[in-house]
Amino acid sequence: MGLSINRRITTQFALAMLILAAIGVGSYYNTTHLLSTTRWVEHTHEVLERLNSLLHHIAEAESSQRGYLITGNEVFLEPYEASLPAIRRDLEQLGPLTSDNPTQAERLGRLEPLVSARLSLLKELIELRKQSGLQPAIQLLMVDKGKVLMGEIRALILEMEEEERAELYERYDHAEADTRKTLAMNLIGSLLSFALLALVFYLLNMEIARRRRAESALRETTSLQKAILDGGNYTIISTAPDGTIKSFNAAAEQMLGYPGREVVGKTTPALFHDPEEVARRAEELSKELGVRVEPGFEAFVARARQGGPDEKEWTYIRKDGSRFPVLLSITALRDDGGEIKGFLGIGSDITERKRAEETQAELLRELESANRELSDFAYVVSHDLKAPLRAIGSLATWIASDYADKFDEGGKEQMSLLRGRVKRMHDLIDGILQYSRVGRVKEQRVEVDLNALVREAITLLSPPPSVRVTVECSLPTVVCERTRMEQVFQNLLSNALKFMDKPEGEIKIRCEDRGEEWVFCVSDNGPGIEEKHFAKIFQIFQTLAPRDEFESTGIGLSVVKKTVEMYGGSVWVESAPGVGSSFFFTLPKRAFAQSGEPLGI
Amino acid sequence: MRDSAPILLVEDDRVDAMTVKRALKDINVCNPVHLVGNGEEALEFLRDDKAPRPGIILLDLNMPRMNGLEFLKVAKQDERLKQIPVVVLTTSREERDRVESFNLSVAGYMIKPVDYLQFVEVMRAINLYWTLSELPG
Repeated sequence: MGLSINRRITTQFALAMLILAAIGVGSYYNTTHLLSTTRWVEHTHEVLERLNSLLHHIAEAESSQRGYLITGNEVFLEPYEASLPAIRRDLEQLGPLTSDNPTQAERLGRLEPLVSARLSLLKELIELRKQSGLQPAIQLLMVDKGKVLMGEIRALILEMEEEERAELYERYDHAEADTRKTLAMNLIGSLLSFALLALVFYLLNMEIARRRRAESALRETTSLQKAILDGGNYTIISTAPDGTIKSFNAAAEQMLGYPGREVVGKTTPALFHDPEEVARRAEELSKELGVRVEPGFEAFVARARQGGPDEKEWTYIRKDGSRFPVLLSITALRDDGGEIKGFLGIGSDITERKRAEETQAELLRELESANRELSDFAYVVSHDLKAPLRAIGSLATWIASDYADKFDEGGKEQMSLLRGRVKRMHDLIDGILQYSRVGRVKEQRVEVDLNALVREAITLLSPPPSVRVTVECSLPTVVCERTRMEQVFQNLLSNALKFMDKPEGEIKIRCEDRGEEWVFCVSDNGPGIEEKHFAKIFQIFQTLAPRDEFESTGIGLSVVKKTVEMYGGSVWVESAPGVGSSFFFTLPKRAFAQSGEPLGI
Repeated sequence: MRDSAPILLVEDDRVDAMTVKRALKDINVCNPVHLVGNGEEALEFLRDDKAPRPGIILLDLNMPRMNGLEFLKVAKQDERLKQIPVVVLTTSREERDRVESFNLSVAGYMIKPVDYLQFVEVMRAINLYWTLSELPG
């Protein structure tokens, strides 16, 4: 754009100059022409004057001769004597004046003999008067030869005068036409160059405005850059390709404690780097890149040199010797040709982050240790609580059999209740272990065909002939922890079986693919649950039926909820008392990313 | 049980020991049962030349001083002891205990049932295994 506008300005300006030059040349030519016309006018006037003077002198000579002829007084001859040389002079001068015009020259050629003849006639009369007196002279005069001659001379001079005048008018006409042409040319040329110059002016103005805008944009950018450089909480240090520090921003000065003038011009790694760290990094990089990296500036830029920014943690040393960790991002600055012109290092103080990371690591360690303690606790519960419980159970059994004859019916019932409670206690402990194991114990994730898994669960629970369990559609294959998924289906199915109160039980298993997730449903036509208990049944140790009627720990559904939620799904129940219950749970497909395609639908 | 080889019962709980002995009696196994309270005592018994060499070891895992797994680590390094079949009898359902036990070449891993009658069934299974399985001479 700029280049083209410059070219346009130059072209148009040159054109305007050319036109002005043409006008100049034209005017010069015209003026010269006018000057020569003027000279011609003078020349014509001179010719006319000479012709007049010639005629006048001849007439004077004639009248002087007449005076003498009449009077015989020689005084009258004085003008005659005087006009003779004048006539000669006039004729002489007319020669060169008419040399340019052959017609005039020819006329002059004819005029000269006529004038000579006239003068000879005058002289003859004067001589005659001198020698023979008045009468013979008058007689000669009466012949009237002189008058004829004079008439011819006058006619010829008139002809010459007219010729000169005609020529003059022609010249005038030429000069006028030329002047008009020149004037028109000047006018058009001036208008044209005026237009061109106006255009150039407009273009220049536009260009100036554009440059002014660019300049102000540049000023803005510069001030923005300066604000970025000095305003941020980042150390920004630029170097030449060899590591000579070229700039050192305000934050760097403030954070490192060195004024810019103390470090600019020095070669980095400067005072604020740890030489040991630089050497260590150089060694690491040498191994990583497979080329020898010198423990110096190269340790910082070797990676950035290969393209792209490089980010690494470094230690900065303040002027007072204290240290702080920085995340230093190094970028190679390249010109249009891709050649490295320098490097830019932007560092941010990561002391806080480091501290936070340490705190986090500490918390994580604490959490892990707490988890371990919990795991150990569960293990202890499993073993240490169950051992005495088993002993109680065994002893109760032995007492009942060894001392059977010593117990009455009441004693026997109490012993039976005792063994029943031991069993319940044992189930509770197992339930707690199962619940605590969800999410705590890591298990291998494997591809599980849920169709097979559900079939196995049903077989394991061996439903009575009065209950029909059906899988209504094909279930997907998911990648999951097998035992967990078994627990989910087993718990839901065993609940449905356990509480079944209809002579013809129906338990149905369904699955629906909703794109992002699968929705599973285990429904039954059992007793159903009142809505007010919907939330309660998923809490641990919460049961609705009396424990003496249904042996239930209240853990099963809480394990289902915990497992499903661990996979990112949710679980809920829909139920109407007397009609049945449907337990729904979702499994988001992304939690089973490795292989989530439903099979054979 | 097989011949009349003695059984070494490594068990710290008196009632559990009684349970094992009673269950063996209930299924008519009359082999002598030697009871020791922990892994250390078991090693002591096994390395005592005067003591009889047991045909099978029934091992509890959770015991004071030296637990079952620690005992297994030592016993399975011992050329003279490593061929004696060891059946773990424990309350622990922990996967890691099971894995570790089998890594230490146990012949079986049985969970002690709470119900005595089921316990008797477990002892019957162990007896059957020990009777039918071919063992090194």
